[in-house]
Amino acid sequence: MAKLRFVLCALLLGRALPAAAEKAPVYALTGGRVVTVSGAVQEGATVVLRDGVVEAVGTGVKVPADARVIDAKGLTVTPGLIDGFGGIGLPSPAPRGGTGGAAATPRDNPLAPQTLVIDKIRPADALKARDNGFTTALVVPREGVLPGRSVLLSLAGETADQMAWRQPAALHVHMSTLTRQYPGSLMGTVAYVRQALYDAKRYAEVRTAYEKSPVGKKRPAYDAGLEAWGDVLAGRIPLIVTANQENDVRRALAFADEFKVKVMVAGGLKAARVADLVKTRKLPLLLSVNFDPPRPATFFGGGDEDKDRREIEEAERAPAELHKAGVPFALVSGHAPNALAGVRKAIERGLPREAALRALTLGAAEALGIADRTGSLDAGKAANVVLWSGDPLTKDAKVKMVFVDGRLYEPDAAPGGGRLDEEKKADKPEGADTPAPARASLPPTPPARDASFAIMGATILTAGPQGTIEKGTILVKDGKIAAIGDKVELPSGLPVVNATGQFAMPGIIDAHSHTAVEGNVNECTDNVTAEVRVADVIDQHDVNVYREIAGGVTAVNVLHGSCNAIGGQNAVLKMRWGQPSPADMVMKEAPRGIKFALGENPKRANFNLPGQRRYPGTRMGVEALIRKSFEEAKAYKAEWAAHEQKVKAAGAKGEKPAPPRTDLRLQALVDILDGKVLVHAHCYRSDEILMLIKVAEDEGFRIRTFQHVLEGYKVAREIAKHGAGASTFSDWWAYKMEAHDAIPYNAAVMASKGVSVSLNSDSDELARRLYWEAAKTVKYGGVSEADAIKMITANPAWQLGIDKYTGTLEVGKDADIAIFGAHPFSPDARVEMTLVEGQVVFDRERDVAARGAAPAGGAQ
Amino acid sequence: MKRAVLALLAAAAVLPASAQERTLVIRDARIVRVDGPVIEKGTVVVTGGRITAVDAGASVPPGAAVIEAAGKTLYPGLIDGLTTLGLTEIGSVAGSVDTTEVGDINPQAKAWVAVHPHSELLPVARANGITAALAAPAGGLLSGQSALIRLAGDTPEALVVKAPVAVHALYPTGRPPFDFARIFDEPELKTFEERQKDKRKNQEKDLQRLANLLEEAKAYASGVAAAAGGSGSAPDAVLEALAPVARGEVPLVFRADDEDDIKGAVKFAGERGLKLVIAGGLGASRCTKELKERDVAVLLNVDRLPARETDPYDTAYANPAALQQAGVRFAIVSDDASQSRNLPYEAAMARAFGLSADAALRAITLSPAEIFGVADRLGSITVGKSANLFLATGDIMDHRTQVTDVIVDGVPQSIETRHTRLYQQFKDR
Repeated sequence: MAKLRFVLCALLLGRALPAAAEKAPVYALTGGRVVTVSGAVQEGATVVLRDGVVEAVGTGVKVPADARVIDAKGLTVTPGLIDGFGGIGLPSPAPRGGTGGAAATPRDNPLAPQTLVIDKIRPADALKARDNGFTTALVVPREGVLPGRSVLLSLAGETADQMAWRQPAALHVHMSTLTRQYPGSLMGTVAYVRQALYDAKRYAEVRTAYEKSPVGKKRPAYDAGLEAWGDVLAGRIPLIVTANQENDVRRALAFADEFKVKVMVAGGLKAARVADLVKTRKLPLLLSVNFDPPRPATFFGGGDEDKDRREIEEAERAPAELHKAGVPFALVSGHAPNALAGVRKAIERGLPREAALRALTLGAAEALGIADRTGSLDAGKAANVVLWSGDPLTKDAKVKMVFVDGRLYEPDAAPGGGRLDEEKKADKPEGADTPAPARASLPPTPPARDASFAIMGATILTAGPQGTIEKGTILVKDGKIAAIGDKVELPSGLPVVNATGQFAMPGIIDAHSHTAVEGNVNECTDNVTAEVRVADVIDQHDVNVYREIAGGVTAVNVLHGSCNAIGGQNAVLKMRWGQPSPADMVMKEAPRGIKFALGENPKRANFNLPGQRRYPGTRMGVEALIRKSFEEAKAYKAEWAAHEQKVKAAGAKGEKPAPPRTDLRLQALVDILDGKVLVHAHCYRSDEILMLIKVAEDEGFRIRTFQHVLEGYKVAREIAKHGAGASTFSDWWAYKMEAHDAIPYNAAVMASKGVSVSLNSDSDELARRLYWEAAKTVKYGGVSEADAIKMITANPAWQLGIDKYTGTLEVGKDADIAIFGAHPFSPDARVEMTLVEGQVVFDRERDVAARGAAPAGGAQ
Repeated sequence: MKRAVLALLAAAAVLPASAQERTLVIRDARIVRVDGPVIEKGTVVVTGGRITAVDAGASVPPGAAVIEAAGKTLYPGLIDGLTTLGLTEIGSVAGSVDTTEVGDINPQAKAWVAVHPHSELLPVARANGITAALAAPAGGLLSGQSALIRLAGDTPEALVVKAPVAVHALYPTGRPPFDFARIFDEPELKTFEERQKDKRKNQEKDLQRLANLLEEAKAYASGVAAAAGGSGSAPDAVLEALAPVARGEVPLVFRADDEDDIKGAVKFAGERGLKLVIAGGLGASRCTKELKERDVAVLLNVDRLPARETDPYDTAYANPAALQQAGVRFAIVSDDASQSRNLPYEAAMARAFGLSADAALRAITLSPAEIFGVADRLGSITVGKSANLFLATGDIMDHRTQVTDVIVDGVPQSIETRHTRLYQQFKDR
């Protein structure tokens, strides 16, 4: 389609230009209140438009003899509005869901950077936007992950080509996901974009090398998608990332940093949280007024209406806050059906009207890099002008005349009249839907940390060589344990936490968690997804982090789900609640890890769709798939090794051989083979446990932990012999066929055979009471209390490779400590205080005090 | 008619007469009676399946079987007031699950018809002191009728303590109903405002359906009564099941968590004179006034996350203490099947968050017995009550405590389970 259009263009070149391109008259707008935006407001000034540009602006400007004079007395003259990111001229989206897809219209390819939105413009629809004062628009496809390349339109002309001002204008990534198709998770989207950029880079290199010297080279394949990325890599057009979540902004910057491309951010509903970052990085921000964008209405979740309300309110306040913070931005429709209502909402929420107007004109032009040609009423810029009755951007404002490229358009004369078309439907008193205030407050953020202090008087369950210390003291210095024992000399005047009668133990480590993941924890659309990384999607504000530290948890292993035989890479978090960025949560010292999964989940035993079976469908297939994947990884490794050889052989002077493809998926598997990545394998049945041990030993990698491993008690000797740890549930059973032989004695039996055993939660709820999960091993199988404590501290620390730093209370280790009011195994046990690296992240007294007006039910 | 038969079944627990006839004596135990002070060292005598003496100095009748319980604690059997025990075996294996009937109006579904006496789950719960459980259907709008079952017996009839106990319903949340066939479909996109509107509309629609059904049931029942002996219309199992609910004789257990939903349920029941019990009740501590006014009891599950980000982290943990303080009746329940054995630990969590130890124990013994109208038979160690008892090495709410003996209706039960058998088979491999 796109190619056909170009052909037509070429044919048209030889013909006489169409009527619309004929010369427009010269206009002089006199007597109006001229808001140039770039300078001061000028009352009664004259604006002269000639040949599509502003010829002159000012009170002393003479009306040229050849000008048609327009009396603008009583009107306000402003630059034309720019919608810097929206759907002007695009058909409205097809309805989704409902009938199960029988009548659904075929959707555009959601992963097609080669798509050119100019092909989809409906000129008549685009021109309607002038009724609202818009003269310029960046038109972006609404749906998809890589929806293609946008076009910048000037809203004058009869065809899209005539309107096109910059084509293509930008390449777009929506930080969203697809259904039933990769990427089906936010982390998948990040991985997909990274892989695409790697591929595009190589594609460009290979093609350039070929053009330079084709002799002896195989003709490189053409790829429209990779070709499209070329403009971004060469810096010809920016990559615009739709980033409505706070961390999407960080993800966009990560793309910029990793691939040295020019990045802009659109949406930005939570951008006020990262105002400093946007400012210091000079990130062009296309801030959306679509404050309540349509979201999936599903039967899952959605119960927290307070949160929905808060998020909408936050978005509405974002323009005002960013303005206050001195962050430049464009206000854009973000595909809102009624953009000006959104602008007025932003004004109502504190954005000065002048600032709003600037953000819709010069601010937008600056963000889009077109301020040299439009955005303000200055001589030499495009003749894009709006004449308003009433104050622009107020409810009473009416667009009387619009000039685009110097051509006059009068909404009054247009069918439908001068009343703003978009206003008709959704008129209701503004402020009527003001969200109700949230009922209570979010959990408190921690206070400043004391550099040194002591915890005194507690019974200390060290989980380390010192065993239990009665009435002990822990000296904390710069986040580490400086001294611990029943007699510790303390410097005078040191702050002291009095824990007399209480119990201190190492912070609890949950070796199987899905807490703080933004979006889907499964990239379920493929059977191997080793390239996706949980670390790309950590949500540092997830309230479950707080809920878990309130249960004494200080570190968690955030794993990819169990949808595929080889899943994504995990992230080990320290629960540093209250830190601003997700990177602050990720424990940098922790070795990388990856999720494997065996049995029912990867074979989709319980989740298959009719007619949509995915390979593998049996445990046999799971085994074959893992072997095949590692064989591919070895071939990949060999290919790169051969390449390095060739590079070496070619020396400094010779032509550099084309590099093999960088394959993020295979590279992750190579890293496993190289021992750089710990394998955490979800499994249930004893046969599959033995299978994986065999595969690992054949292929040459090691399994660090078996996860769940509910039948581990049947093959504990083999697990111990391989040297793997086992991270299990205390007593879950009966929920699926492969859990039929689960027994609560599992941990005890495996431990008795020398396996390092941990107890995990796999659940935001269960994670809060892992201390009692450990207590169950005393009941079921007679594990000693000291060993039981290790199953939620020292053992998981070893399993995650972080035992050098945490997991026991020992001198030199991180001061990760949970303090209980009673022995953690007793029925009165409650966490009173939790510390991560010496920082009090949870303090029950503070929590209760901070509840303020919270109704009864919490505090007692 | 059917009800009469069930009443008969319930009255005479169908147990082997010989096992019950033998007098059983539990000697020198620490007796936690629940309805009275603890007897630090005493003896309980059981005859004919009932408790016949609870005394510090009761003597051992000749020929009695004796359990020496010095150093151990004797508790009344725990009652798990909301489960799917007997109705499910392996969650993901449809063939083994009978919790949820097709369609959303199923008051005719009777749990006691399908409880599986030989389920592996029953002995597992029993081995930790659970001797009775409410087996309740789930799902839909009207899920079905529940039965209180004892966790021992060879036939469904032998399991039943009381049936029906209640008709179970889900208070409409207004959210789209779960549809497995659509979980991988592209979801419909809606704004918050649209979602809110949908929710209110759906809620109203479903409440109206319920209201209409209850009206119909009333009319149906009077029609049947009027036509008694004559030729009435064909019997309607749905309306027949609902009639006693509409008359306020059989409780309606409404599952509701959000405080607005709980208030809505209280209002709905109040306007119609229904006997209401709330299940779930996550937001119950925020509407204690309404619950207290109407004397609505709540079946609470403690191990839950708060519903909202802004809710205190311990909302569910502290819920029982808040209800206790406000004088609202409640029981602590597992709301599960395989996790039923952990019922005492849910009570422990309530205790760690402010509920007294006595009240916590009551919430898994006498309180559910009262809510289900069987306190004359179950829930405490009291002369005349059924001898549902267990012996433990310590505080049953302590995870480290072992249960050594379980007695149901006077008959000692095995504490062997699928789990202990597999443990024995593999522990030395």
